[in-house]
Order: sequence, then C-alpha cells, then structure tokens
Amino acid sequence: MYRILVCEDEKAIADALAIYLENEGYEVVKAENGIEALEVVKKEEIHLILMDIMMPKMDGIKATMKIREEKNIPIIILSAKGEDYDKVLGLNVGADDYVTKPFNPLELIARVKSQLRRYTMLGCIEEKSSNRIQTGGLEMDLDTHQVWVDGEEKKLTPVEYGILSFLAENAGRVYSIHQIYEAVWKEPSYNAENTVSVHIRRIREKIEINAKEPKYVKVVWGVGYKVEKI
Amino acid sequence: MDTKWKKFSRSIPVRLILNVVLIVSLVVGGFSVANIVNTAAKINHLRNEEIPTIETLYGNKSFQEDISGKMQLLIDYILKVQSLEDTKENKKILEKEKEYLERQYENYKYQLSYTGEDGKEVVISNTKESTKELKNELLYLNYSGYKTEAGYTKTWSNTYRGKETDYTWLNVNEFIRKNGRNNLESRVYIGEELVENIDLYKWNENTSNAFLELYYKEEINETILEKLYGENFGEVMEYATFGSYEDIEKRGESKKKGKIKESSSLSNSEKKELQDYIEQSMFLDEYNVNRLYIPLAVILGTPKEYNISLAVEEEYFLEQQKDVEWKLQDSENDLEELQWKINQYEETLGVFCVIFFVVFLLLIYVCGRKYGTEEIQYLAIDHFPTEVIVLIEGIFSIFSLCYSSAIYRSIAFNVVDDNGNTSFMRICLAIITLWTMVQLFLSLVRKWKGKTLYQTSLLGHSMSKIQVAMNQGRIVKRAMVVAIVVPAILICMLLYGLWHMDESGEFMLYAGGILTVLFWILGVRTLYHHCISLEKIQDGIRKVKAGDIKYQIENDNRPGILNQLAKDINSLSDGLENAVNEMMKSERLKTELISNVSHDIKTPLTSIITYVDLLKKEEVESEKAKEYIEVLEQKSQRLKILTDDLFEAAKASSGAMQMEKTILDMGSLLKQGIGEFSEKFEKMQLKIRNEVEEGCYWVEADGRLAWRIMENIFTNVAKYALEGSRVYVEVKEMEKEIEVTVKNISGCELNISAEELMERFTRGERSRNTEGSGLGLNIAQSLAELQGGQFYVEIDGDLFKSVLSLPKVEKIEIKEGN
Repeated sequence: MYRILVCEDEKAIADALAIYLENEGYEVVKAENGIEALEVVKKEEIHLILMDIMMPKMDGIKATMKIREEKNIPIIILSAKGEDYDKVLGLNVGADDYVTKPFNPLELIARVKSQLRRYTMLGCIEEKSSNRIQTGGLEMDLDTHQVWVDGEEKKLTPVEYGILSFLAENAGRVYSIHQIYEAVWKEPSYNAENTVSVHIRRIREKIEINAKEPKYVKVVWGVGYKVEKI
Repeated sequence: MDTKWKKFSRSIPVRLILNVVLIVSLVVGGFSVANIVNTAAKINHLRNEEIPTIETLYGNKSFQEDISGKMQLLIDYILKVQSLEDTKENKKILEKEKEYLERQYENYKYQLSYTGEDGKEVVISNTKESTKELKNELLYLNYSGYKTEAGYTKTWSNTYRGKETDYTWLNVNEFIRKNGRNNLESRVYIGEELVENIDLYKWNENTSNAFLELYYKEEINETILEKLYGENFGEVMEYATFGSYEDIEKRGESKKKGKIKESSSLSNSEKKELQDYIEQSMFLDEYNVNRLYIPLAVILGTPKEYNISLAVEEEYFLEQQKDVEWKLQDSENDLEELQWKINQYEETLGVFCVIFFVVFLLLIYVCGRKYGTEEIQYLAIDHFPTEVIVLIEGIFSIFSLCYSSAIYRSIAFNVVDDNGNTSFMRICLAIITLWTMVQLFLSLVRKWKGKTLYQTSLLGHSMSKIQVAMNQGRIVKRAMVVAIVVPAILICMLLYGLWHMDESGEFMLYAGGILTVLFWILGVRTLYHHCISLEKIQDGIRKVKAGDIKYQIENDNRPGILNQLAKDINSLSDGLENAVNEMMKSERLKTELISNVSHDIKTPLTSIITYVDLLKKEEVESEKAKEYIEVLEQKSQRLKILTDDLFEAAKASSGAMQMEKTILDMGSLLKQGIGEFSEKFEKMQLKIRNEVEEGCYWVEADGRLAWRIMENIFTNVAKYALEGSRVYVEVKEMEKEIEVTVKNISGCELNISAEELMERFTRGERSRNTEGSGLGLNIAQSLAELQGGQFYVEIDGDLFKSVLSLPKVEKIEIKEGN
C-alpha cells in the first residue's frame, strides 16, 4: 500500500485526485500548501508526491527543493503553468515529472504508477548482463534486445529496437534522419525516407506515457532526434 | 518702362549680341594692330632697304667715276703745279694742261684757287663761265687743306642742294696714289714734303697706323720709328695695338707740350730711307697692304693753300641720276601709301576700341542679371576664388602691357623685329588673352554685384571656416587656438631669429627651437594619450554595440575631454542598461500576465474536466444524463483546446514568446513533421508528395516554433483535405528566404477568402463542428512573423495552399550531432 501526498490548494482538484488515486488502491494524504506538505513528509512515510506550484504560504517549487534536501521520494508536479521554462524549472529543482493542468486522469495515473515502479524497484533488477544501457527509467539489454521502461518491458520491432538502441547508446547526441537511417539500415539513405520519423513516432507511442510530451525519445525540430540522457 | 528696359537689357539675345560684338571688336582690333605693326615693319623695311638715293649716288657707277676722274684731274694739276719747276717750258705745259682741264669740264663747273700772299684768293683755273654760282649748284664739292705750325687741317665739304653730305666713296688718298704711281715727280714731291714735315704728319692716325704695320712686318727701320715716336716705341705700339689711335694722338699732343722727351731728329740717311719708302709705297699697286696714308694737306697744304671746288650742273646731274630719282620717287610713293594704310588701320582700331569699351561697359551693366529675378546668375568661372581671378587678371594684364608696349615701341621707334611679321598665332593669343581678361573681369563684377567678392575669396573662405571652427565649441576652439597660434608664434620666432643675425636673433632662434621641441614633445604626448583614450572608447562603444550593455569604459580619471566623453558614454550605457532592463521587465510582466491568466482559467477548467471524467465513471442510470455528460466532456475538452490556443495566439502576437534561433534544415523538419502526422494522414488516406531533400535548405529559426507552424499546417491538412487526395510539399529557394508550400485539395467547398481564413476564430466551414479553435492559421502567421518570416494561405478553387517563408542561411556549418 503506497502512500501518496497530494499537495494542492484547490480542494476540488485535490478531492478528485484522491478519488482517482484511491480507486487505484493508493492511500492519499492531503496538504494545502508547501509547509503542510513538508510537515507531512517529515512525519509520515510517503511514497510519492503530487505537487501543485501555485499555492499559498509556500509554493510547490520551494517545497520540492526542501523535500529534495532530505528525501528521494518521486515528485510529480501538477501545475496549470504550462510554459517551457516552468517545466524546466520544476524538473531542475528535483521533480521527477511534470504534468500540466488540465490533465488526463489516465495519463496521470500512468505516470504515478511509473514513478512508483521506478522508486520501489530501483536497483532490484539483477545485473543479468553487463551489456545494458540505462537512461532515466529506460533500460535496454543489448544482448537480449529487451527494453524496459520503469521496469515494465516494452515490445519493440527489430527496426524500432535498432533505432532506439542506436540513439540510447549515444544518449544526449542528436542524429539526423540521414545518420539514423545509415546506422540502422546499414545502407546509404536516399531521399523521401519518411520511415525514420514514422518509426520514431511509433517508438514514442510505445515507450512514452504521453507521446506528445516525450521523456526519452525527443525530436530536435529541423535537426534530428535524440534520446535524452537522464 | 523700367521693367521693359530690364526685360530688354537682361534678355539672353542682348547678352549674346553684346558678347558677339565684343569678340568681333576684339578680332577686328587685334587684326588692325597686326596690320599696323606689319605695315610699320614694311615701312621700316623700305627705309632700311638700300634704295639708291641722290646722296649716295649709288647705282650709277659711270657718273661716280666721272666725278672721281674730274677730281683726279684737278689734284693732278695741282701736283703738277707744285712739283714742276717754275720754268718757261713748264709754264707752257701747265698752260696746256689748264686748257685741257677747261675742255674736260663740259657739264661741270670747277674752280682751282689758292690763297695769295695778301690773303686774297687767286684763281688758277675755272670753267669759262662764271663760277660765282658754284655753291648754288645741285652738287657741290670743295677740297682744301692747310698746314700750320701745330699740325695740318683739311677741309672738305660736299653739299647737295645746299645740304651737307658725305661722299666717303671719294677717296682722296686714292687720287694721290694714282697720281704718284704715274708721275715720278709727284712721288718725289710728296715724299720730300712728307719727310720734311714728318713731325707734323706722324701723329695722323692713318699715318701712324701705317708705320706701326710696317714695324710689325719689319719693313721699316726700327730706329727711324723710335726717333719719330720716342724711345719707348713699344709702349706706343701697345697703344696702337690695344688702345685707340686717339691715344696716340693724345700722346702726340702731350709730347708737343714737352711732356714726353722730344725725339732726336732724323739723320739725312734716315730721311732718305723714309722718303724712299714713301715713294716706293706710292708706286706699289693699290692692292698693296702696306700703303702709306698721305694726307691731302701734303698736296694742298703747301704755302699756297689750294682750294678745289667742283660742282655738277643740274641738268646733267639729273640726267645721270634719272633711274635713281625714279626709284626714289617710287619708294616715296610706297611709303606714303603705307602711311595712309597705317592711318586707316589706326582709325579702324580707334573705332573698334571705342566699340569695345562701350560694349565692355554694357556687359558690366548686364552681366549676372537675368530677367525675372534679382538674384545674380553665376557662371562656372565664378567658382574660382577671387584671388585666383585677380592673379590671373594681373598676370594677363602685365603680359598684355608688355606686349602692347613692345608693339608701340616697334611702331614708334621703328624697332620691328627681324622678320617684321606679327604672326597670326600671336594676334590670336592676344585676342584670347584679352577676351579671357574681359570674362574674368566680368566674373569679378558679378561677384561684386552679388556681394560675394569676399566670400568666394580664399581669404574669406578660410576666414569663414575659421569662424565656423571658432563657433564649434570649446574643444574645437581650444584645439584651433593651440594648433594655429602656438606654431604661428614659433614660426615667427624662428623667422625673426633667421633674419636678425644679431644677439636678439640668436636668442630668439634658440628659444624658438627649444620651445618648438617642447611643443612637439607635448603635442606627441597629448596626441598619444588622446589616441589611447579614443581607442578605449572605441572598443567600449563596439562592445556596447555588440550587446554588452553593462560594459564600462575604463577611466583613468585624468582630466581631459576624452575622459569626460568616456564618462558620458558610461552613463549612456547605464541608461541603456536600465532601458533594456525596463523592457525586459515589461516583457516578463506581459508573459507573466498571460501565463497567470491562463493559470487562473486552467485551474477551474481542470476541476471541470476531472469531475466530468469522474461523473462519467459513476453509474448513472438515466440515459439522458449519460448523454449530457457526453456533451459536457466534449465541450470541456473543446474549452481546453480553445484556451491553450488562445494563450498561444496571445503570446505569439504579443511577442511574449521565448525564442532560440538556430540553424535548421527545412528538409529534416518536413520529414519529421510528416513522420509525426503519418498516422493522421494515413487515416485520411492522404498521399504526401514530398521531394524535399535533407541538407539543402537551411533557415534560421526556432526549431520548436517552426515545428508549431508546420504542425498547424499539417493539422489543417489532416482536418480539411479531401480524403484520398494528394498533398504536395515543395520548397523553393528565394533570394533571402526559403519558401515552403503545402498544397492540398480541400475536402469541402471553400466559400471564404484567404484573408478571412487568416483571421482569428475562422474555420473553413462554419457549420462544421469539429475540434479546433480556428486560431491555427493565425498562430502560424504570428509565429512566422516572430521569426522574421512570413505565412499566408492561398485559395484557388478547391486548391488550398499554405506558404511559409523563413529567413535563409547562406553559409552553413553542418554540425555533427549535438
């Protein structure tokens, strides 16, 4: 039974979140602002925090920073602030995920599950093979061609696996469509190859919780693709 | 009347005519002068030409010889009278000679006489007619000679029409020589006479000269000469050689006065030798150089003192000289005609001079004027500085003065140059010079009329420049004073030192020199520091310009204009920084406002959406309620999209959008976009025709924003394109941008204009109730403009065309990876 702290000043939303989470079988603790949240975290054992940003007394960013000073609990920021720099700021101060309001309840639950899985299973996976790549919650076994996201195995086609492993092996580096094609297909690329981008979209749909806001396989528009190094 | 006159006098034809008249008068005047000079030259030439004149009797040798012969006879007769002893026989001979003489002189009148003892004139022989009127004859010659204690005198006078003339051709010596050669007695007589009176004759220039010649040629005994001319004969010789004969004569005079020791008289043998020599010299033919000059007085200056008069009868003379007379007449006529011509030319010249001056005055009156305006009209020539014009004017006037004075001299004093021809070129030159002078003068007049005489002068110009510089401000004033006054003082000091070579000058020179060096060192120092400061300021400004607005120019706190400037620039960049900060702040505020409003709207929306979702999961029995919940869900989702798009549009159009421009490959972007949309396109069975290659079209844009535009375009295509149709993606390279065109066939009729489509909240078909806010195209347009590009749509029937152009990048550095 995981305990989830919902830190949200808007009671209606907090209640709704509680309903969703309890439906999934989690125990929910509520806090109305950052200070309360800090107190709760100190007193009780919490496995995950859903944190709003705009709150009275202490905002979500500050609270996240404070919590991160002591605890390693997964924090998902849930905010109506959808600007890029808000997301960057949130992730930079130590949040594990960022979900914008209005959110899709299903997506949110998926993210919560994913974070919990990662948090609880971290380090549990045996070192079956030394030939593994890991970036964030994405893990790949290059020998067995298996892919896990937050401990959950994902089925990829050979081409998708080829692309993902190529990008993940060089995580952080951007590759153009052309380069990816030549590296994966092992043949010179000719024009009108929409294949790479289509495959990448499919990979994203498979491994990302929200394909439109990918966490691992990112599009660098007008340049190419990369796997984020986390 | 006044305006009429102005209109007339200021009209262009009048000025043209005046100018033409001026040139014509110049040309005519010039050529008149040329003609005058040429005519004067001709007259001169005529005068200088050796025209046979009555006086020279040139051109009629027979007549000349005639006169010589007559003269010879007379001298011969006198010699005969002198040399023959007074015997009866001789008297008869003389009588015969006299008769012969008288017969000979048909056309002549002559008279031979001597001064008797009582001082009366005794006539030896004359023409039969009365000779009283001898002197009144046309040509009259008179020869006589006297010998006195002091020396000898000879008189000969030749008159023509009572006027004294010079008959150099009548060589008396030649008569004597001729006589001496033919007549031994005469020779002896002359020799004796000469030796006897050698002291009297020796100082005669011709005689002494002849002696000296002989001395050089050693044809005469030196002792004789020494005795004659004194012991220091060498001196005499030198006098004779290097001095003039006058010196010898002077010497003779001083000797006579006893200043030089009287030479001892010649011995008899020496006398004999000298006489022999004289006789011999007379006998030798006339081409012998060593001829001894024998004064006429030797013959005529005997105690009897002979007097020869010869006159030519007019008729005979005129007959003899007819040719000469005619020629003379001709040349006189020519002269007269030329003189008349000169007068004519002079008249012309005078008239045209007057015309010239009148026209000149009129031109002065009209120049620079134009009808209808009081403003002075300047010509190109007026741009020359006044000084230059005055200088040229001065040079030209000196030149023309010299030239005209030369012409005047040549006319007045008959000093025409050798060829006597004033060349055409020179006259043309003079005309052009004069014309230029007139034009320059008129330019000055124009300047004077326009009161710009001073302004357009170099002095005025530089003074006004200095004035402007002085008014510039304190820095320029100070610099000007230092840069002009100090060197001027130093130069004055040095010049003073150079001119005054005394103590004060030396002091000035040294002081000036030292001060110059000091001034120089100081100047270099100041210049160095200023240049360094200036460079710093320049660097600083460049940095600020490059965007480093916080940059402060280093300040060494030395008092100086440049430091002040640096301070000012620093405070300026402070101001700039403040302004930029202000701007950024306001930008931030704007963004914050938008995001806050968006946040405030989104929070209740979140509740709505979540509770609708929760409601949906509740077990509701009523079918209607389920239906209502369905509608609520749809509309809340729609509201979500709308708010998202609305804030996107607000951000894009207000510019409150974060942007990070990089170099993008349009080909890649399109492929990525098509890849993203492949599913949707497949659903609509749209076939994408994309021939755009990667790595060919590079733009400078924010990748995310560029994608947003493409996303909007593709969303549009996916929504509205006709199912199963083809979509064409093309890229064109323009001069400064890359143009992406996406063409598709609209699925339904487009009953709307492109302009309307671009407006906010417009969708192709109003009635169609689909997702979308209608803001897509508008956002795309705002985003394109934000990145310095352009976005528009075109509608051609059912053809829907979206065009995006983004700034092109010329030089691409392809980055590998990251």
